[in-house]
Amino acid sequence: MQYSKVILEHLENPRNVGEMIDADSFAEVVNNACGDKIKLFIKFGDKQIISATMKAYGCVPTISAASFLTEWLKGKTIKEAVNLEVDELISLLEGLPRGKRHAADLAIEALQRTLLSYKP
Amino acid sequence: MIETYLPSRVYLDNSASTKLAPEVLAAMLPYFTEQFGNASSIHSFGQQAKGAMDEARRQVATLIGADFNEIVFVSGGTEADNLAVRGIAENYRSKGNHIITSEFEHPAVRNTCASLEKQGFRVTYLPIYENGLVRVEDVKSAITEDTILISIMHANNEVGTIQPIREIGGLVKEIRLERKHLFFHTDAVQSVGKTPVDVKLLGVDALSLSGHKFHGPKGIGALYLRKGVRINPQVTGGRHEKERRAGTENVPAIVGLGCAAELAKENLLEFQNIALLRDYLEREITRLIPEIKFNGDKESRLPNIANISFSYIEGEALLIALDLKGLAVSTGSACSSGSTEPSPVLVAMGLSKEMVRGSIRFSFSRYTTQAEVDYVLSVLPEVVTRLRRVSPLYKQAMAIEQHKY
Repeated sequence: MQYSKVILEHLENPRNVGEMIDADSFAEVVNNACGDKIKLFIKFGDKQIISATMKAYGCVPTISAASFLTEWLKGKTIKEAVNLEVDELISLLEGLPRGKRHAADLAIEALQRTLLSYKP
Repeated sequence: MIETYLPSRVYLDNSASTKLAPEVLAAMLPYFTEQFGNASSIHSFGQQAKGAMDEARRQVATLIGADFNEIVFVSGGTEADNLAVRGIAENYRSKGNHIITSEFEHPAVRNTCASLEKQGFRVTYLPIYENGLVRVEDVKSAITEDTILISIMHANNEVGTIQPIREIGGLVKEIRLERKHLFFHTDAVQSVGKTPVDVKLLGVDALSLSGHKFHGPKGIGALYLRKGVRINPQVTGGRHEKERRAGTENVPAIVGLGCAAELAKENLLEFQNIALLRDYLEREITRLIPEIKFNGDKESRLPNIANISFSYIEGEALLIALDLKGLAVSTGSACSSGSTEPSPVLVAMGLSKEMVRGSIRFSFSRYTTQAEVDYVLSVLPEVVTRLRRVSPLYKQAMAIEQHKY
């Protein structure tokens, strides 16, 4: 399986790992077909996202997409975060191998759910 | 002697393929260049090729205790399995249409049986138990008046368990005293060259082997077919291989297979040391990493395979993370298009979904060194810990790693 440098680097050095106990919003999503799982935690400031943490189980891009997302979210507005689409995430990850799109789908689903459950 | 260097790349996926032995390459080379004749030609070029092929056939026959004429050269393990299963089933169809195999055969046997089912054969898939073994009594009770073929693999490719082939062979011989047309095939692709394999001792009528699993070239294998067992050829054409497999013989690869067979026989005792190295790896992993499970029977198994499930993490992620450290292994978890296709072998052994997904196979060869195993032990715990730290399934880590911002 040929993974991009970005994906491999996040696998070797996953960012912002863990559960955020004072998160403003949190979601857990599971891909029922393969069992991959992402937990995403976000803390919001007045206008921007202050921080995000994650836990991820599954194949390489699932872990890396979740890790990448936590870094990308920092400093983004809610609007910017809501507008992140699967294809954009895939290109930020420098592409996904054939058959691995589901990893980006799951990461975006985690993001959308976390944003939806945010009650300012 | 203990080697002190740290290897930069370690290959522990020898059940997938092995490196070509340098002696094998040297033996093959002249047959690509000066001695390129067609073994069917009667001039000196052809006869040289024929002579080399005869020598290889003798070498392969010697490795497995067969007679010279009982060896059919084919393109590899898959073709050997196809030729045995389909060839015997089709040839003896008038005598019965029932085949017995197991749930954990290699796809070369499993899918061939499935395809024969579509042609009207009845196939019984025997279960395997938690220890990765079939039971002889299950074979016995599955045999009917209609059974013409039993195909059970010798050693499993994922967990390395060695099946009770000798006992099944004995059972088949007993039944054959009354019913002539019952045949027994075993896929020995994983065991040949790693553990003693003797077709007469095992009591099999057909046995598949493959060159690249014991330091021979890819694209070549052999089917042992006991004298008197007839098959429908699956590749028809000229009268090669005593009309059992048509097509101009791949002489360089056959020579390579023969040489690899001879080397395998000479080095068979080496595998006692390989078993010690494998046991050392298992022991140290047990000491260094908690919450793991060894898969497959500890006694009846190949000396070169360790199959271990690591709780809370996924095999592909572990495999790639190890690959980044220069260590090549394999996993029973293949996730693609958003659905995981777990190893049917581990599922058949009753492992939970998560333990199947977290399984890794380390497979050694006679070239594996202590230094390489020590390298594995120097990188594996850190990689497992990192992935577990990320995993939401790892509750223990969750408790200690809560962030506050």
